[in-house]
Formats: sequence, C-alpha cells, structure tokens
Amino acid sequence: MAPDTDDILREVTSKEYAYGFVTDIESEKAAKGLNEDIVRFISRKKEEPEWMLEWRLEAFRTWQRMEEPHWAHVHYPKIDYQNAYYYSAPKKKPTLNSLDEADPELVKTFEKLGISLEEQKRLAGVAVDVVFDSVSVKTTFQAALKEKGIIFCSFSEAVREHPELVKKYLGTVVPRTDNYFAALNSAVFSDGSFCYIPPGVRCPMELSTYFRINEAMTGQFERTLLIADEGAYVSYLEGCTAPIRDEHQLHAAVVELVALKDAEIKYSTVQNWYPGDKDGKGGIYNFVTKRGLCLGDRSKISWTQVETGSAITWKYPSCVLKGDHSTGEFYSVAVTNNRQQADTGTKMTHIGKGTKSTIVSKGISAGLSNNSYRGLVKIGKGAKGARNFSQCDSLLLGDRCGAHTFPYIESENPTAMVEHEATTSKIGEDQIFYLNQRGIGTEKAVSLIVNGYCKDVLNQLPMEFAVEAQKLLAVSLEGSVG
Amino acid sequence: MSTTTTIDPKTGVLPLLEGSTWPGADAALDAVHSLPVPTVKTEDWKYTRVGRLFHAPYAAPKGDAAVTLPERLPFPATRVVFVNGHFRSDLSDDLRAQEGVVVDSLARQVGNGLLKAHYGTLAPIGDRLFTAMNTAAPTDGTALVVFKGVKLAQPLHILHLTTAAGQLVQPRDLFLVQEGAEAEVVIERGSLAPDAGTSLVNSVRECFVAQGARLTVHQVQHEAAGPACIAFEGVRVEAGGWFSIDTTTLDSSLVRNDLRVSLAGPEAHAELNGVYVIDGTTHCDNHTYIGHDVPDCTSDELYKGIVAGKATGVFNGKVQVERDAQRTRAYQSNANILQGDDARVFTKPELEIYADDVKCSHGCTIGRLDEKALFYLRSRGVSEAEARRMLAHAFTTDVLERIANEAWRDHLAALIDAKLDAL
Repeated sequence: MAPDTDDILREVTSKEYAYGFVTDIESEKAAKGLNEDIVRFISRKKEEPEWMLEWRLEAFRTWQRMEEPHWAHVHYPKIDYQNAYYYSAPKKKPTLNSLDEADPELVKTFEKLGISLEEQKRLAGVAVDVVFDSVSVKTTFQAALKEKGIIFCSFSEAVREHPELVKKYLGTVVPRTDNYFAALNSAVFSDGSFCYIPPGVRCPMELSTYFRINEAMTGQFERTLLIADEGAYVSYLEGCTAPIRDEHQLHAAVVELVALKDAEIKYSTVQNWYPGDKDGKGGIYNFVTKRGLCLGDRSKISWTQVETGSAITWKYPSCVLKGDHSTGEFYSVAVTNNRQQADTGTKMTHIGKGTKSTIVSKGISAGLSNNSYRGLVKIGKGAKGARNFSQCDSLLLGDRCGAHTFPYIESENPTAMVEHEATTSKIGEDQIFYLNQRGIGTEKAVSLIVNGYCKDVLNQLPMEFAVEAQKLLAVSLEGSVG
Repeated sequence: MSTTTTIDPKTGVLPLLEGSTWPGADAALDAVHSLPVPTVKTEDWKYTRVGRLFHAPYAAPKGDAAVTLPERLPFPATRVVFVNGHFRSDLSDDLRAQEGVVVDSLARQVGNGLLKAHYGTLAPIGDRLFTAMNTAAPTDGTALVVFKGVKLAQPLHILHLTTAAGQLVQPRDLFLVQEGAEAEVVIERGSLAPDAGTSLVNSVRECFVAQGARLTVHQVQHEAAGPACIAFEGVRVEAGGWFSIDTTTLDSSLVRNDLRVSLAGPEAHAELNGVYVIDGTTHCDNHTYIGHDVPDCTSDELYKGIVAGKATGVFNGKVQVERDAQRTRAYQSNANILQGDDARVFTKPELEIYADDVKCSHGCTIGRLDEKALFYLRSRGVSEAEARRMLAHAFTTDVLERIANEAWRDHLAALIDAKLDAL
C-alpha cells in the first residue's frame, strides 16, 4: 500500500468538524432538570391546548416507569436526565414576515451551514422549516404550498391551527409507550415540523427541515409528523448540525409518517451532528425513533439516510406495511470514525398481502469506531406473497474499528420470499493499486471506491442532497486507508 | 408491591442435581440456584420456549433397562451404547481394540489427570442454566482420547437410547484429539418408548482439537415422539487443527443445539453443516457461535432446512472476529423452505468483526420451492409430488455434498429422503 497512508490517516483523524461554531443568539431556557413542571412550562410556552398538555403528561409518567434500553451495541456513561435543559429558544422577536427581518446572526448561521434560506428559496425551490435548538424558526415558501392545500408548518403551529389532524395521527405510528426515548420525546418535545399533503396532490417542491442544536447543555427533542393523504406524493429532506461542545448532548427525536392509499413518501436524512473530538469527548447522542406506516393499499414509504455525525447513533427508521401491496424501502450509508458508535438499521413489518421491502445498508467504519447494522424483517401470517431483499455491507478502514451485523428475520408465511446477504471486507489493495498506477492518489482512490460502494444509496437522494452527502463522505473519511 | 411468593420453576429438577461427586458439581449447583429459567425475553432463547420443560418433576434415569438394539450403521464402526444416559459395556463393542485410543465411560475416567485438566473448561456454567444443570449432575457419557499422531481405525458410533418417560438424562462427553491425531464420531439418538417425549435430554460435550489434529462429528436426531433435547457443544481448535460437524434433525419434539467453536490457533479451520427437515409441531433451534480468536483461521457454515406442518425452524449463527484476527475468512449461509401455512422460520445470522483484513459474509433466505423449476419438471411429465421431492432432495444435497465420508453421506441421504417422502 502507498507509504503515505499513515500521514493521511493522521490527517483525517485530526480533521475538524466544520459546523462546530456557536451562534451568539440570545436565548430563553427553561430551568435545568426534568419534572412535570418542566413539561407544563414547555406546553405553556407553546401556548398549547389542554389535550396536548395531558398527552405530554401521560407520556412523562410512562417514561418515568420505563427503563433505559441497553441492548444496542453501543457504550456510553449513564445519562443524567436531570442535568440538561429541556427547552431553549431564540429570544422571542416580533413575528417576521420575511426572511429579511430574521435575526441577522441566525441568517448568518444558516449561511455558514450552507443552507442559505434565501438561496434555497430562489434556486432550489426547497421549502425549509428550520428548527434551531428547540423552536421552529422559519418556514419558507408557506404561501406557495398553501395554494395546493399543503400544510407545512412548525409542530406548535399545527397543534394550534390543525388540532383535528394532529389529534388523529399523533402517536399512531410511534405510540408514547413505544420505547424509552420516544416516551421522553413525547413528554418534552419542543417543536418540529408538521406536514399534510391533501389527496391527489403531488408536492411541487422538496420539503426540508434543518435541525441545529446551539445552546450548551440542551437536549433537542423535535417531533415530525408527516401525512400523505390518498394518492399524494411528497419528498422530504432533513439535515442536522451542532456546535462543538465538550459535553455530550442528547437528541431524541420522533418522526412519524403516515401514507394513505396510493400515497408515497420519500424521506431523506443527512445527519451530521457533531461527532465529538478524536478522543471521543463531546458529541451528540442521537437516539431517534423514526417509523412510517403504510396504512393504505399500494402506499409506499422510502427512507434514505446518510449518517456521518453523532457520537452515538441509535436509530432504526422502520416501515409498517399494513396496506396490501404497500412498499417499504430503506437505503442507508452510515460512516463512523474516531470513537463514534452507530447502531442503526431498520424494521420492516409485513402485514398486508403482496407487501414488498428493500433494505440496502452500507456501513463504513474507521478509526476506533464501531458500526452495527441491526434490522428486523418480519413476515406476518397474513402477508401472502410478501417479498423482502436485504443487502448489508460493511467496509472496514483500519484495524482498530469494528463492523457488526445483527439481522433478525422472521417468516410465518410459506408464500413469502426473504433474502438477506451481508459482507464485510476492507478496501481491496488491488483496487487502490489499480487506481494508483493510473495516476490517482491514494486519498482520491479511496474516495472513489467509497463513493462507488455507496452509490446504491446515494442514487436515492435528491440531487442537492446527494452533492452534500458526497462531500460529507469525503470529509469524514478522506484517506483513512487501513 | 406484589405479595405473592413466586415458586422457583426449577424445584422439579433440583432434587436430581444434588449430591453429585463430579468435578465442579457444587459450584454448578449454586449456579443452577441463581440462574433463572430462560424466557422469550432472554435474547438467546427469544424463539425457543423452554418454560414447559420445568412444569413436571423428573425422575432419575435408569440405566439397567433391557433394550433391543437397532440395526448397525451400514459401514464399519465401533459402537458405544448408552441407555437413558448410562454407559452399557454389555451392549457396546470391544472398546480396547486400538492402541493409542481410549474410549470409555466418562464417569469412570473423569478423575484421570489428563481428562480432569480439560473437563469443564469449554462449558462455562455462569450464564447458561442448562450447562449448569448438566455440570451439577451428569449422568454419564463418552470419554474419547486419541493420542498424538494416532488415527482412529474406524468411526466411533455413540448410540443414546431413551426407554422411559419423565426422566432427566444428562449426557456428558469429553473428546480429546491430540497433536496430529484424527477421529471421526457418529452420534445418534433413538427412543424406544412411545411416551419418551416427556423426558428431557440435556447434554454437554467438550471437544479439544489439538495442533494439526482432525475431528469430524456426525449427529443425527431422528426420534419421533422423542424427548426434548437441549444440547451444548464447546469446541476448541488449535493451530492447523480441523473440526467438522454435521447435524441432521429429522424428528423430535424440541431440539436446541448450541455449538460454540473457538478457533484458537492460526490456520485452524471449522466446518459447520446442518440439515433440518421437520414437520408436525417439531421445534428445531440451531445456535452456532464461531470465534475467530487469532489470525489466519477459516470457517465455513451452511445450514439448510425444510419446515413443514406446524413446525418451527430457528437459526442463530454468530461469527465473531477478534481484534487482530487478520486474514480471517468466514462464510455463513442459512436457507429455509417453508411448507405449510403454520410453519415458521426465525433466523438471525450475526457478524461481529473487530479486524479489518477479513473476508466475511453471510446470507440467508426464506422462501418456497422454485415455481419455475417445478413447472419445468411438470412440463416433462413428472408428477407434482415427485417434482417437489426431487427439488427438496436437491436442496438438501448442497449440505450433504460437503460431508467427506461417503458411506455416512449415503446413509444420511436415505434417512432424509425417507423423511421427505413422509412430509
């Protein structure tokens, strides 16, 4: 192998997180700790109706009875849930009519992040909802969407303006009792995005949420609820960053998707939370529950994720295929470096007849990191003619990292077909040699090979996102040849 | 707070485990007291319920029952017979025929320094109730020592017969294959009583394959209405050693095979093969673990099953590659065919890898017989039933082809075909 390998490796491991700046924006925080009063405080701050508060309190009580799960292949010191702020919001300013009136500091932050709202508005035609710490700051393009009857707003606005929709679907996909972190989220979620696509409407632009944790010692608990009514289509993007902090920060989000008859939802995530420094100091604990329900016949939900950040990722975007002939897809690239740990995968629950699911997972581990795929494919008794194909590959860069696969496959129907395959290997020295001798440096060669390795997943991303994802991959792994 | 006192479900077995003089029995008994009966919430027993095994008390197994021995294997082999777990020298062949080989009752030999030094080291009692139960009071089993450089002249055929209901039989084997030695063992279970299904056979076997040695184990479980069989096999393969096992399950009520192989020296090789053709309400669970502890080892695993009727097939295969176990090659595959609306398959092939210069892969499938292939055969005048049999036969042949002993392979193929005909 090329002699400069070690140098490159050193360079990579010392590569700093590009999004780690702190924005100096005045913010308003709830008192530290977690109790019923904090839940009430959050609810009051959001000017929520009584039923919402009750829902939260019930979730809080459930959470108190639950135990933190430890089955994932990740290790971290015990989290002190009382030593964190559960609400932090940019100081209230008068309502803004246009972006020009937004806090210039905030606008600058988003420019640094490369998601200039203005630019996105003009060029990409992406409607963005930005969640800064816990509060939804700005939802662009609302007027244009309104024309089509699409509701795209912050979660708190939805609770006020469209309580019937929220009441009908909130918690139907991820119940409050689902798991420890979902219960916590249900109690203290501060904001998030809400989206409803009416029957037969094809959302004319990509919808997008950008999450950013800014304040120190805060947790972020956003909640996304997305409903595609009969025959509707929507493509949704989600991105995230956080500043460099020495302490760990908790991010426990819940995303619920509901696809009715013939509807299609495409949900793409580029997760780039601060992963901690090379010694594992700081970084985000990303404990997220994401689940989609294919409620109607022939509905389709597709998850695409590129996971490069977070100190610990614990995330299983899943599909419940209830409608007959519904389809679930999961495309994932998870990259871990330094001391990052990722335990991620998906659950495909086949209930309806003729349901189909595809899983393509590509894990890349480097440095001292551990990267696990954990998945469940469950074919119920009634899922006649169900079909699943899973492919989980792991690539190891360096001899101190780990790559693991834990797939659970359960079939109770003789007409179903399930296939699973997984491979683990390192980048072939022959491949690098081939590229080297054609004048391509080792670093570039690795980048080429990794990009090729991830192509199946990257191809699923909307174009603007694919570019970002490729850049992220390059940054996270540049030259880490083992 | 609940005020009901829970009764320890192990009360039915505890009296049978007390007072044993086997090495480590006391510590094992303590472990039995402290370990809970696994439930579906216990990850390792997620798909296999064993609670019912503790519902009724068991009797101590009787070794003096009169039995009619079944036919011999269709090839030369030295037969050792156990009745309800007890060694029966009167029914066994002459076991002293070969120089450099010890075949005997383990109860008689376990005090021997060589065996004592190895006994219990591959079957930890700390986290598995059944291993602790066995270690607390083993019934008896086979001690096999093949000394340095010796090749076992003909395969050893260990026959276990169950003759009565409601017994707790705990076979315990210890195989030592020393440097450069070679051994081949066939282990067969049969039940001679129609009500033997209420018995529990809880076995533990430890196999040591020394440097450059070879050990081949063939196991077949075909006892209709036979006892529940919970088995643990711990294997350690040293440098350049070679271990191969094939496990065939055709009939039984409940089968759980835990196989734990540790590749402990460079260039050790393990080959794990399995076939299960089950129907009725048979539950067959194969749990395998292959530990690549050092560099340059290889392992190859193939389990295939046809699950019909209301049967359940479970496979859990784990390959763990330790840090610095470079140049590991590990392949694992599990394929299942479901026949019957109430048949179920749960499979979980796992990889846990901490070294980078490795080539590991696993694959698993669940489905039914290929409709196109069926159509092809039918269009050539083969009846549907016959076509299904042919395809099922071909499906299991992949595994059989990996068995080197041709005579055993043919014998097994005949057993499997008979089972396929009966499906």
